Amino acid sequence: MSLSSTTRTDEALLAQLAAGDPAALRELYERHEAALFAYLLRLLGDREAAAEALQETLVTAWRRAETFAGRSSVRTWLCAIARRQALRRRQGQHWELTDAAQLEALPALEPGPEERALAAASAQELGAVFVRLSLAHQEVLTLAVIDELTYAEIAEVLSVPVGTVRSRLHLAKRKLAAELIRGRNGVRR
Amino acid sequence: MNVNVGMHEGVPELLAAQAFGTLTLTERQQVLVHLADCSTCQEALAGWRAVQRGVREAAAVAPPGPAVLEGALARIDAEQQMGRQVRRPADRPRPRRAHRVALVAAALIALLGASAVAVASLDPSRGAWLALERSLAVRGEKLWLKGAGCKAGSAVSYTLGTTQLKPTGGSVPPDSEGYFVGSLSVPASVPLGMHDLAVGCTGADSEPLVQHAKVKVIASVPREQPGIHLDDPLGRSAAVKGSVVAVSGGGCRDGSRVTFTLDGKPLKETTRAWKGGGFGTSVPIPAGMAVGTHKVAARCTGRDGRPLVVYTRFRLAP
Repeated sequence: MSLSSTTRTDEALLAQLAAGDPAALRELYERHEAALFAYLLRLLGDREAAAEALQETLVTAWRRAETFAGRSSVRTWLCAIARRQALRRRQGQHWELTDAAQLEALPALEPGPEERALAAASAQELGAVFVRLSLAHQEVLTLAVIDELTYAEIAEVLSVPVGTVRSRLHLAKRKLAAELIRGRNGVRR
Repeated sequence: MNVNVGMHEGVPELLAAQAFGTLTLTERQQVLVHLADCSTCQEALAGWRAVQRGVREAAAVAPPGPAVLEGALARIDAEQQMGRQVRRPADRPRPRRAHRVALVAAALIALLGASAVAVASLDPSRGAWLALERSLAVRGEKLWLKGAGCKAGSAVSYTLGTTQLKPTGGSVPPDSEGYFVGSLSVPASVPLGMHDLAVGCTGADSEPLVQHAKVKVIASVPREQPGIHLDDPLGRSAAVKGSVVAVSGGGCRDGSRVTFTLDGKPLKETTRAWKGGGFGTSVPIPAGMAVGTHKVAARCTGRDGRPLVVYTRFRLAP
């Protein structure tokens, strides 16, 4: 049990978990804790709720480890479990996780000014604007940047086509830029 | 590779993934070749890098640490013990009944992850359990329960005594893991007293599954004296980390808003007092909470119109 485990893959750890050894969970947790927690915090907006959902995610991962078919990466699989836990927690609350409300026309800007506004902004400014985006946009960007999932993996977690992931990412970026420009021009809602 | 260096073809779509480092080697090469000659894409890439900085900035929070893992491992341990007990009763000495009930209840309370605490039925061999928010049903009020073991999307039926109960808006049919939530209104026609609640569905194994619970139907919420207590089925006034406990009490003015604090910290959960002044809510017990004694308090407008604060202490088990 205490053999060096540095070379074990996520898949091997999950197989160990499926075989009934919960100790493998410790290592999986260390590898994915930060990324899963950041994702859950984004979805739930509250540290305690995110920590509880993370614990639920771990227990569910243990229960369902033998159902992991290896079609996706372990992190993708864990993110999908985490998302279900978050959805369950927010049952009954209005929760817009699609682009439906976001398809309103964005200011018709050439790409140039948008890119320049983004590049000129400080991390703090960008972070402050990011947390005001819609949940759907915060979610897709978090999965891409923090959880480091590919488009296809994000599509799997969100149960949407890959094309939707691409367009959602682009919309999120444009929205971020538009908000920066709006803030800079002194326009306040 | 069908890359045309002079054209954008397919590259703009890959720029986000290029910035975030999630491209395959081949895709990365394709992007780099194109970028060398395309200032529009260079600008777009810089934009994506800025987006990345913003998201990282917002996500720069301390992770929750080992408490979450330890809590999960404790729950897994409890589930494993429960599973062993059910599957191989002959292998081990039969635990004393009280101990067995406590063990199963503790494990289930830990499992629920919702406001239900009154564990009504349990069949681990079929992954089935049923838990009620409270085992007291008031005519004309909602009865709330949740359970597991049903086939995804299957219809769930609820029969209280001989009365068919219709699920209301708050109900959730069995999800892909078999969990379901029932929000039922208790008609005034149900006779008072103790009844069997039968919850039926198609089990995850495609066989019929019927789970039972005892429910006491009362005419109205009792006009409780000022006070608050944990609705603990075992009467132990104890809670388990990461679970959710139901608390209820009384003494408030009808319909007044009731807010709650846990160790002095306000909770998001609020409710309105029932007719008669009784109230109830569920309190999530944070996974990171320290073992020991804690205090849950409720505030409302009392029957005399003055602010009323009631509290109780409970023990948090590891």
